[in-house]
Amino acid sequence: MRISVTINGKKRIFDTAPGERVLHLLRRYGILSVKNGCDGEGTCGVCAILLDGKVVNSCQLLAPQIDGHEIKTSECLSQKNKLHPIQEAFLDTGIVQCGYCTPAMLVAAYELLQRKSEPTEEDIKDAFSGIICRCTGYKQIFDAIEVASKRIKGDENYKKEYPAFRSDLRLVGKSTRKVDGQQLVCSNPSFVEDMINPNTLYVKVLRSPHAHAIIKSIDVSDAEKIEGVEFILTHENCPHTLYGSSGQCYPEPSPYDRRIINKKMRFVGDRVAAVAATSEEIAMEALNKIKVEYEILPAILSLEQAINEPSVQIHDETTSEYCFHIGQDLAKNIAASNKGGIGDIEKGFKEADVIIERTYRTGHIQCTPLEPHVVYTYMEGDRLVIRASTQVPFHLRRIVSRATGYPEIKIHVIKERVGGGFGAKQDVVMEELSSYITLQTGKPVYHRFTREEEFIASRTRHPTIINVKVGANKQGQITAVDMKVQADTGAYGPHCLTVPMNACSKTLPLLRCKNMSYDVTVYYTNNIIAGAYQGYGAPSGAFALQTALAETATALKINYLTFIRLNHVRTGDRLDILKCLGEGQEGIPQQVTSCALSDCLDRGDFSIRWGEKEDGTAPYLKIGKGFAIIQQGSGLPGIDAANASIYMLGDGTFFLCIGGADLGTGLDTVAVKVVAEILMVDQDKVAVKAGDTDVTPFDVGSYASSGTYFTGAAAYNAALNMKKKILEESAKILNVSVDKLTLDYPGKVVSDDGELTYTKLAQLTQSGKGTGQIIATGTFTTEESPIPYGAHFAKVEVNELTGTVKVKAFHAYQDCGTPINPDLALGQMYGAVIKSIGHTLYEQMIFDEKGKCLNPNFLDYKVPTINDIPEDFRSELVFVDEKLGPFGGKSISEIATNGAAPAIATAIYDATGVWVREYPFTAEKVLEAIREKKT
Amino acid sequence: MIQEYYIPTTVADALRIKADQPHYSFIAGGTEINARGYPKTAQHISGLISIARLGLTGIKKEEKNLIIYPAVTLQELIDSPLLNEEPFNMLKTAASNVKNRHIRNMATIGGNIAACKSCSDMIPILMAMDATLEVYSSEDVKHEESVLEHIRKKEKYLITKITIPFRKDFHIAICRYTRTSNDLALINVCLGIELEGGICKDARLALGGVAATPLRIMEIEKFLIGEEFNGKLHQYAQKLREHLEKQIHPIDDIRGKAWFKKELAGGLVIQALYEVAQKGGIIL
Ligand SMILES: Cc1cc2nc3c(=O)[nH]c(=O)nc-3n(C[C@@H](O)[C@@H](O)[C@H](O)COP(=O)(O)OP(=O)(O)OC[C@H]3O[C@@H](n4cnc5c(N)ncnc54)[C@H](O)[C@@H]3O)c2cc1C
Ligand code: FES
Ligand code: FES
Repeated sequence: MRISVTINGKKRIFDTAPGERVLHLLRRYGILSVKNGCDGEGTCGVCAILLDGKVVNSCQLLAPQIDGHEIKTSECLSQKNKLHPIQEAFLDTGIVQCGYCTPAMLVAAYELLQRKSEPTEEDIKDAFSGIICRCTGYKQIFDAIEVASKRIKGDENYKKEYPAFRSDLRLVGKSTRKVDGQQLVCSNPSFVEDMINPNTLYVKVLRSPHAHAIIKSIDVSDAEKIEGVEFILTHENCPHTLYGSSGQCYPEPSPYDRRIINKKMRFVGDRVAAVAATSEEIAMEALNKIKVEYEILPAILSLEQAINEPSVQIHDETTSEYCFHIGQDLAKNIAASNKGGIGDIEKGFKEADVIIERTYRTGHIQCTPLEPHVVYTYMEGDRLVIRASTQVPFHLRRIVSRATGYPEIKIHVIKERVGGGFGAKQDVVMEELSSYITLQTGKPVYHRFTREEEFIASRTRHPTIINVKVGANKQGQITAVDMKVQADTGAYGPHCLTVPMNACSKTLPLLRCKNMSYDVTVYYTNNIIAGAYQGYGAPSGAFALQTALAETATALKINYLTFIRLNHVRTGDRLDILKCLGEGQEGIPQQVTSCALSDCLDRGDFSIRWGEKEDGTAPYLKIGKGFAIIQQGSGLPGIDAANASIYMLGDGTFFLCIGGADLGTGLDTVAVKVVAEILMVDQDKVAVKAGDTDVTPFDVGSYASSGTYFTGAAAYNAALNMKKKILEESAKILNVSVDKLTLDYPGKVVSDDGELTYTKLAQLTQSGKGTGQIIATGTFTTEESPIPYGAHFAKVEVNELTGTVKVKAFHAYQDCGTPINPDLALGQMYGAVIKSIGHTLYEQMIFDEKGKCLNPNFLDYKVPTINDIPEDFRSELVFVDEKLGPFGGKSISEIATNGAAPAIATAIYDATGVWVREYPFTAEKVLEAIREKKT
Repeated sequence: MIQEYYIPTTVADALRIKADQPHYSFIAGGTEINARGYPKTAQHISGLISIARLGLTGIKKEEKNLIIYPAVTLQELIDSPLLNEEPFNMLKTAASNVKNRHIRNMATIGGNIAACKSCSDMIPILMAMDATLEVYSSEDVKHEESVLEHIRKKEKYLITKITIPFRKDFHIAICRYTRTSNDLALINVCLGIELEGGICKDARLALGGVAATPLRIMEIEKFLIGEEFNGKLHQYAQKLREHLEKQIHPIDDIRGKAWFKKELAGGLVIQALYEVAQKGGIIL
């Protein structure tokens, strides 16, 4: 059928079918601003458009519903490359992170400001109520609207003031626009989904309905007969090589325990077969025609079962190979284990007046990036090109090479803009599959997870059972701490040792305690696959340890804040415990080079009014306060590595190449700023290319909080080398000695007698008579890694009639050394905090007794929206002078996921007198705990 | 898979198409019907009949009644100046409990009733307000029925009008539990009480989430009528809760255990009672 629609002011005729979704129609006609985050369920809002001036979900509209109507998309905003004030405001307030939700937010902002030129906070919440953003924590939306509103009304230079640091620097420590911001607010082709060419094959995967089974037979003959089906992959025709999916440095401390498709199914959702066809519909039809016979095996579906029932074996030596020993014992389903400690733990407990021993539990939670996993692969001659949404382009190349047997030199990985990663995209969860199909068929292949697949076939946080034993004396000194972590890696073991180890390595070093021990055991089960998730194992460990400390303070009858003040680490302390807590190898003890914990605690003490009891507004509403101290790392010393190169271009500007992978966090911006700062030019005189394995030098990628510290430092070192070369070349040209020259803003070399602009320098060096283009490289490896610290404070209201916990206030204080870009740094904090409040209160995957996930969608698995942010929500950057890192920059984002659970748990206790020891603290659990206390 | 999409311009035409093609469905906003069976709308539906151009939009006030046409969206209810006073203002509260503005801009009140979800936010308030529906089962058969009667029927016909009588001194409270603001309610409670001098003259209690469709709990309504609240609310609330918990039989599902839903319903009904009492000037 034909419909006629006015789109962004222009009347257009579309050929469509009555059942076609408007979302698909628009994308088919090149309108890229509409995104798909929930497959038409209506819950995510990233497909938003204006229909006759009202914001609606285009995924829930059928083509005939818009016939004769007027539609606007965010493409209507910028005119001929000139940004709309709303787009400008978005860029000036740090609200664009990954940018996947940005077009929808722009549409909502536009509609709101048309309706109300000076909206209230409530108006803003309402306008954005239908959009899920997993990155930003929503907080800076209020700033963006304020700025846009003022500018539209004529105050064109209105700015929101963000804190600024390091008055000795021009760019670093000040908020400037994100370098990829403009392409994202304009919806230029940015994401993998924007790159698909005609004649592409679409991949769909048949998934195991059984948690543990062997494929007895598989018959694809009927499926193959369907017209349009081009290739079907099963365990019968796929390579036998074992590999691991975790994007970690080689040799990985994770097993190689899977083939592209296995004969044995190990969880509900495991790959049975993959079909490549000329359309998604045909691929799906073909899946239905594949006949599979399974031999069903008994399954292990919980950690308790794994610990107590070693009779079922999930892997053996033929299916799980290790690069080196990480404490595995496959006969007992132990994928990895490690234990160690410092001091004399027995003695420590003997010295204690109070000993608290508690068990805490955490479950499966999902990263839920709004852009699900997606990949596009195709051949360029004999080279395989992988356009990926990944955190680890270089590891991805290596892993795909191993899995497919295709040499690394013939693989080109291009990281596109990533629509949210959060750890899930640190794993190779689909790229090796589509690569193999492209290699077999020679054809372009597109594979994109549905939202359901994103839940069941991506990576989750490891469920854990953590026993904590704390000893302390009457004076409030901690004398001993023992942590026993048992974790569920699921069917396969990516990150199986390292995530659970982080439960200890990012928590125990917070304490000045001489006697500490830990014991980590990780089990294979027939659950979905666990992996990396922002914070790694630290949020679970922080919840357990910090809550146990609060319980200890309560038992000692000491104010919890006083107790923590007595025991936390300080600048200059040596962290010997890190020697044993390595990543499968011996770790490196660290000196605390900077630590603002005391400062963070003071600020929270004051702002949350610690110790002041407050009453609820009804007799059944109880108010309580809590807090937690937190830390993370800044990359992995002795393991991670980053490199950068800088080219001086013909006009004296710079082209920076970094291997790092910006996943919306602002890493590209950090690197550019660092370079521009050193080379004395404006930020827009440095262009950046990142995460392209053909063009940019090696970098481990974005994980383990390494972005700013490692990639930033490589850029820093490259810039220093570039500076050196500029000075040397200029000295030759000006015929003076190097020590007489300095760099000066905006982009020149000066001496007492004259100057040479970079433009001139570039012309001279790059001409036929010159010495050649100036190219500098920088590399960064280290034995030292500065630790970021923080304290998060929460005030909650517990409804004793319903068990509902409402976070009324959340104040996050963090030190990240020098915040390179404060508004983006704050956005990282807000986003992580909101996500972790979700994890703490309601996010949980639910499974039936056969291991099938029952809530793989946003209707049933709830994530926070703008109406869920605390009324009083603050993030503050606490400056500390850090000598390591690029201009003293430490990491900022992962750490911010560690505070919510323990802060809220202690606040719930303060409010109600009950301890909740398993998150999420759902209303059901809280109500049950309150009931138990009453009886 | 949708093969046909009709956009009739009269109710009669719409009903004729429906009579010819009984398995076709009406579509209003589409938030419910299009949410199923992605990427193609509901596999089992081969045709849709749009109600968009049937003239079923608008809200009007008559002497004793409020008339709402079914294609009115939830957002239009909120924006309507006709619903500013008690008790009609509570329709706005109910509609704004659907926190997602995108959905409210599309979702219609008629679609909400017809979809008849257990946790519907509009059905309980309409039941509490004694709303009646004008429903056509075929071109020439028109029924006038209460919302309760309507949702009990298996066959779903075309709703063309919603009539809500005005009631003086009728105070309504809506209390609901959701995990996040954008969640469907697990349990919602709508309590309406007519008060005269602190005495309950009449009562309505509608509950969502405890059975397959929203319920009216007439036992409790009877229990409330004639009670004197002044000064006795606390003890009364407890009694009400115990009584209610005996009347409902929720089931365990992934959204919550039965005991929890029961307890929630009890807790929410107490909250609703306090709220209504406050509106009616009851002395605690
Ligand atoms: C993300 C999301 C969140 C939601 N949140 C809530 C919530 O919080 N509370 C809540 O109550 N609901 C919620 N809903 C359900 C929401 O779809 C309905 O509330 C909505 O009102 C349905 O209206 P519609 O016009 O979109 O219906 P449609 O999808 O067009 O139709 C729904 C059904 O009603 C029938 N129908 C429509 N109009 C008529 C009519 N006039 N006569 C007879 N039959 C008719 C259709 O045939 C269909 O069977 C939510 C839905 C989504 C997708
Ligand atoms: S894709 Fe439309 S609401 Fe999620
Ligand atoms: S910026 Fe909103 S989802 Fe990433």
